[in-house]
Amino acid sequence: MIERARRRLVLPFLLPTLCIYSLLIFVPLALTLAYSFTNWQGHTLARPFFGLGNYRLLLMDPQVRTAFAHTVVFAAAGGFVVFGPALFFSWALSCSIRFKSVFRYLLIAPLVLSVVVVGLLWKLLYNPVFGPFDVALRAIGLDAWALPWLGDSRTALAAVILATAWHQLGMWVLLLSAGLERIPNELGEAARMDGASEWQVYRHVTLPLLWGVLRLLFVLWIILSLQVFAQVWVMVPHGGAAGAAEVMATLIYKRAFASHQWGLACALATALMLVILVTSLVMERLTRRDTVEY
Amino acid sequence: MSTQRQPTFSRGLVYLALALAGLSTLSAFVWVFLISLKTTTEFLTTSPFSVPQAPSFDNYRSAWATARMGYYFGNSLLAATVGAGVSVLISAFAAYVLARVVFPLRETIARYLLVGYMVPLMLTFVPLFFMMSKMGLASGLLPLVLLYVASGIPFNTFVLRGFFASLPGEMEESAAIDGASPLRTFWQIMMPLAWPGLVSAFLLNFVSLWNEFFLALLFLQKESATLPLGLFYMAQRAEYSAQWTELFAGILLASVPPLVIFALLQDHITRGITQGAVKG
Repeated sequence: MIERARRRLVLPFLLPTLCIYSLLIFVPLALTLAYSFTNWQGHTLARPFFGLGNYRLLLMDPQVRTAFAHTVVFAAAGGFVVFGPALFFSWALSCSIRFKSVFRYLLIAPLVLSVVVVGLLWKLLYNPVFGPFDVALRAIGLDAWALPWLGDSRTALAAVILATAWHQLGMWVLLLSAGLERIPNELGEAARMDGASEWQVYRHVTLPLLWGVLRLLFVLWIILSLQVFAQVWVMVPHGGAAGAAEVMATLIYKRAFASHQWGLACALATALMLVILVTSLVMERLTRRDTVEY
Repeated sequence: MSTQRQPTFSRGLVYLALALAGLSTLSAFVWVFLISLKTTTEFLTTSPFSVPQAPSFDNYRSAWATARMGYYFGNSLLAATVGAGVSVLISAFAAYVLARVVFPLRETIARYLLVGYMVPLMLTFVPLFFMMSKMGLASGLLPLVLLYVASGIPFNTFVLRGFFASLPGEMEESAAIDGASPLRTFWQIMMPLAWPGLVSAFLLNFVSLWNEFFLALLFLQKESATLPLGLFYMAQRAEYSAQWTELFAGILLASVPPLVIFALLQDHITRGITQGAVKG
């Protein structure tokens, strides 16, 4: 009786969410797939069927290859630059130390800043005329090292990765800390009693227990980093003069709005979606270990 | 996991690393603050590390009024509040029935809503932009807010479904036995119980919408920008006109409110983040 009365809520309660979600999330997704097989140019309504033509074009396009390589570098190198320090700092914050809340705030606060704020802040820090990095390098006589970090095609991508790592560090420290909190204390204590060093405790007790969370976070990082857009767009407008920091998302945006190749942009987006899907599945597989029960 | 006994060496290392990381963040903001107090002439003629000779808040005034940051600020506040509020509210309706009422296709619908969690608007924006133009919503705050509502749905329904499922069922049962209608039970019993989860979800949505850049770039003109987009255009202007000091002030104006709010509501916001990722 009660169940039946409650079941009358189902439709009205689901309807707003389902309508908005379907219209603005799901339909565009399906249309992206569909339009990727058309030769749709800009604002015309004509969407001539093009088969796999776009996919053939993007496989041969050297710009796509460069952007894809940069995206992979961003995800891989960024992964190391983010997870290395994040593992260390989440461990450091789990130690019993003084001023923990102050340190914790300073470390994770950047996560509430807009990617635009962080991008611009680092753009100013990297500035070749007044940026602290180059001013300091010149002051100690290393004039040759004082590069325009974001303007030099050799360093632009690395500079964006570093700024992103600074911005994101707190987010991953926070997530790893949540994982650490769930690990019971006694196991590490027991190992320490037996004379294990801090490093041994971390390596052989904490890390295996954290692994389940860590591999989930790896996959999450892959999903997020392969679609990186805003950092690049803010720090290196249009991906740089020679495409020095061009990534997949900036290329898709330019194909859609600068050259109005909408069909091609849809194919690129679909390809990137596939890459994200496959990479996260592979990551999930590769990181699978025997789960440790505790 | 807190470690009790630790050798002095590793403890010293921990303090050193934490202090270095904290100081580098602080010093970046101090540097921005010092320059924001200088005039353009002083900035261009003195060392970037010097203390301002005649500190003044003129840059803040001109960033807020002349560069229209005050207006962008209002736009951001409106878009983020309405976007996060509506998204959490309608997601709560859906999450409630998905969690606590048994009906056909329940799991299918839950899974369908999760698809959007994997596929960001970043990758579907071409048809999206086209559809919105067809509906006459190619530009302005209304399409932006609609998309903000939509973009929060997968995360919000997922997290809130878990939250509703974890609530005890007895009060709901007894309210129903006492003759309260299902709708009333939902509003007066379940929503108050779910309040902490709703607040965390709202704050997390709010922070990410407050900072949102891509959709704003896509759907807003320069004149109706939100704060991140307005700042982006301000930086472009600074490069051509050398109005650097105003940009420094603008960066601080945009950073301070979220940093203060985060300091006050840290626990709520971090709970929202960890709920979504680690527990799921």
